Amino acid sequence: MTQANQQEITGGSEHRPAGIVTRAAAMGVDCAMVLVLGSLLYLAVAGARLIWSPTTFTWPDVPFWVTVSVELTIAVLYLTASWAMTGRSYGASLLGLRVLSRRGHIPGWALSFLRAVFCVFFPVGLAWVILSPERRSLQDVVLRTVVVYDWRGAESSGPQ
Amino acid sequence: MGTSADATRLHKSPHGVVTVSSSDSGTVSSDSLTVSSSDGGTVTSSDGGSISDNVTVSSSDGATMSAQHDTDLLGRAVHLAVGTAWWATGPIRFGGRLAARTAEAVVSDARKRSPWLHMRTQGGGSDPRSGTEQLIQAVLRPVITRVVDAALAELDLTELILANVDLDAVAAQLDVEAVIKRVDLDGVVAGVDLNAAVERVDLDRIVNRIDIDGVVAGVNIDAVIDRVDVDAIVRRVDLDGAVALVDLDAVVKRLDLNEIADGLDLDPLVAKVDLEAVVNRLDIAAVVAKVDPDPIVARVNFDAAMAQIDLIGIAQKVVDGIDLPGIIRDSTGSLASEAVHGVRVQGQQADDAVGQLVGRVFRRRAALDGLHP
Repeated sequence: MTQANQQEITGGSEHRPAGIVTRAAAMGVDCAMVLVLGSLLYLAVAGARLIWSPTTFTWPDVPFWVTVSVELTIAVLYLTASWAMTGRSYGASLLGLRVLSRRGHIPGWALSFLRAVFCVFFPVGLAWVILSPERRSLQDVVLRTVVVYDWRGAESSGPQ
Repeated sequence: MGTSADATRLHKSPHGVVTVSSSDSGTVSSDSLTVSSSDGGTVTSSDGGSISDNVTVSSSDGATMSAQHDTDLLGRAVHLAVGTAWWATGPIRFGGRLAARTAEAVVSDARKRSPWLHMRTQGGGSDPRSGTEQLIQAVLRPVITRVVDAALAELDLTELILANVDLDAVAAQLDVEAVIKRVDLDGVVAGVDLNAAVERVDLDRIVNRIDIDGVVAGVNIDAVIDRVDVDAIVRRVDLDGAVALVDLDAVVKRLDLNEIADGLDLDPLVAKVDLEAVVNRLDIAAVVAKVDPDPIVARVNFDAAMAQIDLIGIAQKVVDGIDLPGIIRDSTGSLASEAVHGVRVQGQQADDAVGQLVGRVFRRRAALDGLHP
């Protein structure tokens, strides 16, 4: 990706790869989002049960492993859809970040899915950003992606 | 003041006029005198009547005086003698005059024919004739005077003229225009004291005797007006000079402008006024700058004004006209945008700080960490 492309993507203010702080903050926001989505899913199931059998309604007693599995699934789906469609999750959008492919495009669904699985099950790979001179996590190194500052809106997140 | 009989004098002039006078300067009243004629003759006044010698004048205080004629008997005899002599010497005087005229004609012709005689008679040739004439005049003048006085006493010239002269014929022969041309009217007018004459005129009495109503009623005003050339009169009037003499300030002070304003119909006048042009010419800013709003505001009853205003309705319309949700949304979005921007900036700075720290630890160039080589 050239310097001009980076400048265009980041709105002219920043076109550099994002650092550990902003990416960790974006990951934290995304985690919160996953928790919220899991909670909403739980409430939805409870609501369905209430509607299905109001007289026998009780709060669903979900086992821990189910909860973890569902949360991880939600996280993978959430990140895959976000990166494949706009190149950014809610946390990345809030912090002004965007995931780009090696050619500077929004990653495809497959690449997004792989990166999402890698990030969800090996989140420690993000720490490599600190040591990487190009501010790349292990996921970026393996999948040849990059996370850059991009303060433009979601409308400009089409394929580059 | 009366007078005594001793002081009263009677005098009869040669013309027959009897004069009663007082020697002590007293006034002789006509009421106290009785004039009568003892010979039964008629006593006439001085307008031409004759008074006989026997006129007696008596006063109321009992004094009676007889008019003594000043002419005595000697005068009558002289009159008679002179008259007789004059009549008798008529042929002689005619012959004398004829001889004198003849002699004068002969001498005059001889002087024209003979230069010598002319020279001889030029210096004192007339002396004998002048001396003769002077002698005749000296001798005859008293006689002629007596004769003329007697003739005038006997004759009433006025009556004779009235009886014998046809005054109408005389007047008809008069060239009145020639007479008027000979009159020096300028001199006459210059000699008249017009001021005194005017002062003696009682104008009020004259004016009161004039029937002005009748005069005015007899005037055909329309005909007079039709004959007046108003345009010519106006052109001859110096209006500028007349206006310059008018004290407009005094006139304006005497005007009742309120009464005039009440009588004016301002609506048609205002309808003709181009108010937009007037307003455009006004310096509104200067006018407003001169207005002191404090007294005006102090006189305003805001409570009454507010009571007449439907504040609730106005507020409702204002709220309806304002997109409050949009404003709140924009404000919230703006605040959120500012907050997000701040988070992003601080995040970048934190990234750079961590990158620089790591770069110092690993002694590497950190172009991506905001440090320029």
